[in-house]
Amino acid sequence: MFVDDLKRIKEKFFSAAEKAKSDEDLLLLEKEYLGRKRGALTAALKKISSLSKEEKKQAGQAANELKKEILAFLAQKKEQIFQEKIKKQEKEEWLDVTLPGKKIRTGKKHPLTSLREEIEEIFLSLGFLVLNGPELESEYYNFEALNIPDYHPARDMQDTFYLKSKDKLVLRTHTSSVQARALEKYGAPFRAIVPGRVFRYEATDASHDNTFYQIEGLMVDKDINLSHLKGIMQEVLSRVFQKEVKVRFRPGYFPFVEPGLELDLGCPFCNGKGCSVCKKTGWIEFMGAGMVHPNVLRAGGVDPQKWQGFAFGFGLTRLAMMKFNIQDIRLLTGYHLNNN
Amino acid sequence: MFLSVNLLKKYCPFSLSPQELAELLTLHSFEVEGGEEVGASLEKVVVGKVQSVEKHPQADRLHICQVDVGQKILNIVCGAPNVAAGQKVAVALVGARLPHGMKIAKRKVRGVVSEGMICAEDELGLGNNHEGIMVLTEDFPLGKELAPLLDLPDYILEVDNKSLTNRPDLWGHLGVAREISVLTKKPFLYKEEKVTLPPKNGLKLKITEPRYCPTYLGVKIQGLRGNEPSPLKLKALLENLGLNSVNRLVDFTNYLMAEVGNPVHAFDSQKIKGQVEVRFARDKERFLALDQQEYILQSNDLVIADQEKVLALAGIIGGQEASVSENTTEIFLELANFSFKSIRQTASRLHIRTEASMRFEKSLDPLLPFTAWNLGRKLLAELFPQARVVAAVEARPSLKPTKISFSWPEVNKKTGLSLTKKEVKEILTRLGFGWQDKGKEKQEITVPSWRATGDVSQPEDLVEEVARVFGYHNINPDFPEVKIKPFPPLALEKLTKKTRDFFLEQGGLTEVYNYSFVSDDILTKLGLAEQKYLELANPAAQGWGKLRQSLLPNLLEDVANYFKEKKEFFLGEVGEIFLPQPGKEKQKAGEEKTLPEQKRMWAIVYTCPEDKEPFFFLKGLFAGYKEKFFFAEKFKEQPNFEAKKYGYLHTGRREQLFFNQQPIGVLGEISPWARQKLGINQPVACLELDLTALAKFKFSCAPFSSGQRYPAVKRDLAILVDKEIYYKNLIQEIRQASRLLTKVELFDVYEGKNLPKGKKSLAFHLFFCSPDRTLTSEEADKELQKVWQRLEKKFQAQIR
Repeated sequence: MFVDDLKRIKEKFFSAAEKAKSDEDLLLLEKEYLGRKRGALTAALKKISSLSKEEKKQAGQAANELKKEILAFLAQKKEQIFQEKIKKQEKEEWLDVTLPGKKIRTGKKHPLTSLREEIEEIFLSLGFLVLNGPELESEYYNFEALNIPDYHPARDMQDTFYLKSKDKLVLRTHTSSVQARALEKYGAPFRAIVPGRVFRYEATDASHDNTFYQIEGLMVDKDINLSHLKGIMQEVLSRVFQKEVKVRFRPGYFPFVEPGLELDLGCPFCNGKGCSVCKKTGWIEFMGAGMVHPNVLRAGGVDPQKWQGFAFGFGLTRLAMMKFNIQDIRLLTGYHLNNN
Repeated sequence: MFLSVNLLKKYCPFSLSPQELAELLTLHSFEVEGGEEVGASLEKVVVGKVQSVEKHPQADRLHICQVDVGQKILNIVCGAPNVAAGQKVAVALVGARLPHGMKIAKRKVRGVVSEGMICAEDELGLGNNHEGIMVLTEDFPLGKELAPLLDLPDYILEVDNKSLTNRPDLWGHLGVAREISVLTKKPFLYKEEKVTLPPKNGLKLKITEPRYCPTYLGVKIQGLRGNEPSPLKLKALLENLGLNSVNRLVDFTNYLMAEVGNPVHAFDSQKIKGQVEVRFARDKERFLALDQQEYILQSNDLVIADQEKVLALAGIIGGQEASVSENTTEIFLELANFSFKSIRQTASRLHIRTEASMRFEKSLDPLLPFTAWNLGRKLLAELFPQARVVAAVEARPSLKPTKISFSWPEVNKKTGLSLTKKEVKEILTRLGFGWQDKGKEKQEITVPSWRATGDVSQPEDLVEEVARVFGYHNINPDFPEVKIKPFPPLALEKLTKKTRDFFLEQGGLTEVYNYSFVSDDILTKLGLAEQKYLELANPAAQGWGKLRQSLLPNLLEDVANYFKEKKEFFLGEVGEIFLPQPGKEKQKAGEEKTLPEQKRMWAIVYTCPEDKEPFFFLKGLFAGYKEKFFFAEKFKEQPNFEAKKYGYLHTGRREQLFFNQQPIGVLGEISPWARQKLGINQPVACLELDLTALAKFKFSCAPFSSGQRYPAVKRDLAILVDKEIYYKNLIQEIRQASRLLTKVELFDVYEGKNLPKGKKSLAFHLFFCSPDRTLTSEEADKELQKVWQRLEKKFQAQIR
């Protein structure tokens, strides 16, 4: 009987198909049963033509169903084999994902560059120019134009590197040397900061080096006063330390400002409670500042009757040491193994 | 400088704690760096009297003493050789805790009970003497606590001298007390008195340089015994002020200086021959000073001299020849004022810094010597009851009061405070300034003599006075209102940032900051020692006196220094270099002279053990830089250039870089000989760019291109040429060969096996494209043919 034929084919197929282990096995099975030329089911179907109309219909239906069944089973088996294969592959490709990643070269900015750029950005946003000036400077701009004449005791305050030359040239002892130069060049009103390298002829130790960085600031206009200096510095330092910091003025002496003052920073590390950074005082001596001395304005060709403003200068290096907790200033110059 | 709170209180009865005082002074006047209580640990130290001294039976050097301490008699074992019956001594009782932490307890010393300790000077913190116990004078009352008798405990403030640079009036206790009185509104207890001096009695004074010595008071005093020790109270005070007690006479002068602020000097008047003269030294005149040094003087050194010799370097240091000694009974006491100019000039040239020079160079009040004598004569009577003031000479200053025309609202304008006229006037008056109204907002201010030596001379100084006394800390933060004023863009700063960021991010290098100095050692190793360098007169260390002319030597030194520890370095630096030729910046506005030329450079060194041709790594990086920021076509390279400054670069692996025909840098590897000298046994590549030169050109990336409308046809070309033909020349010819060539890519360079010796093979992808149609295959082939024909003709290239 035709139905029995189908039944036999079905049984035979399933018993063989259960054993299939690869895509190739499945392909062979498909060929063996459904192949156009020699497929078992194809062959069976060929016999249908000899049946009666009624039987034809029944047999056709049954054969088609079997075909569907076989195809579905093959597809399912195929998926199963695929899953097993992936499983096996993933097992083979297992990685110790806790191993470190591939080493790539990442650039490393000098901490002084990072901090300097951060501060420059803050001042730029407040409309300040960022200027530079010569590191090898004349005594005139480094001292005289800043109201520090010859024999002035303030010259002792900064030990100076002198150049072997006929002209009196020095490695600038402070970025303040740019004050008169900038005023001559740009005139008033004016506001700029000058970050830069400065030099002191002194012995080096963990907290002193003969080379370090300062940031000078100068703002000259008609009504600029000390309260503005306080407002701006409070804003700048709060942004640098990413928290509200306090600043305090107290008297200080610098020949190029009058009134002259020191600006203390409320210790951002202990919030003024007293710690090792602020030496238990709650305040960190941060910078010298004041109102630009009329003689400095005059040296810069600016009329002190019309214009007034503030100037300040702080140690970028010292701030970086504080902010990044660098214990030895000498690590900031030259290459050191821990640089990378 | 040190200040005694007890001595300050003598002249101003303030009621602040020492800590409050320190805070007050720091906020209003000068920086108090620290403070220390002294003498507090002298509790339970009393005056005792040694009744008897016996030898300790078990120890040769120990004594058993019976010491009367008032209520009882103690048994004390004492090791001092100088202990003797009848002495008054300081006794630390059981329970005392001495300055250095020693605790006194009842204990057995070699079998004998000791109920306290007889103290030496150093054990009480009253000096350095430990030769024996301290013997007190008879007037010390038996059984009393020692501390109050010595005016202890006291509190010593340490002042930052720098913060007193502009305050000549604060270099003595008297001036500081006046300042405290201003700040606390408590009375100032010193009043100037009119003092009549004795007649000259044959003393002669000649002031040859009155400009440099406005005031001179010379007093001859007889009947002294200088080598006696000072009373313990004075000794303790001087020790606490950091001025060592020497003997009664020296202590007298030192105390007077500490109290008044005016240095005072005593000569042995019997060693002075003839008149005393204040004059300039003769050129090359020799002077033997109290510090045992002989100085050779110049004609601008101010000296005190007699007829025969230099007695002292005025205001700096006394001389050996007329110095006081153990035998001195008669002195010539100098109370004077010298100009800061001569003091500074001489002291800094001869490198002498003394308590005296430190004060005079701040420009002291020329009237201060009179105050010093007023207090000095009283102290003299106290310390030397037998002393007689027998003669005096004087030169008085002719002073015109300093007047400043002032407008009081300036205070508010400069500080942002809002004080009233009354408040401003009140503060200035308290400070001793004279106030005279010349109009509603116009005042004439008279400066008191102690502030008139340069410190206060203009309206801004008055603003400072008012603001600091009112309190800078009372200024409230505010933001200014300003007009925007555009400034020219700062190309160099912008280029610096772009350059640094590019190489850091694209290349992944580490940025270093090297010193601006370059060592003789590295210059010698790189064969650069013969170049002309700018040099320091006072280098930080020997062999470090030259200023760098390139960033590369120091970077190479960084590599050499650490090459033992690691083999891969990729370092970059941006910094200024210093050249011997004159630059553009003026030394002073309006003058001809300019500063030496200074430029900003960017430099890289790169070495990696796996990379045999690090040159190409840097070159590739540089190519990216050019593409990104400039019209890359404006750059040109010149291989194997002559450049002394870079003479250590490999002759076969170096290029000079140009932009718009201007040299702007170099790219290369260091020569094998330089590698050997530096101890680096692998290739090292360097790049140095002159940012200052480059910043003069406009920089921007290549213009936006919309791309080609028609597809390009790609053809490959492989050629064989002589090894030493530069790629640069080949590519130039290739480009010129066909107008339809839009892009050339080198994809292979090969030499070695299978190729004839001295030849290299290069392979290119060529892209041909027409702006107005799609090229046919035949057309492209024709263009390719043009290219290889040209290469064949020009370079004898073989097509492969």
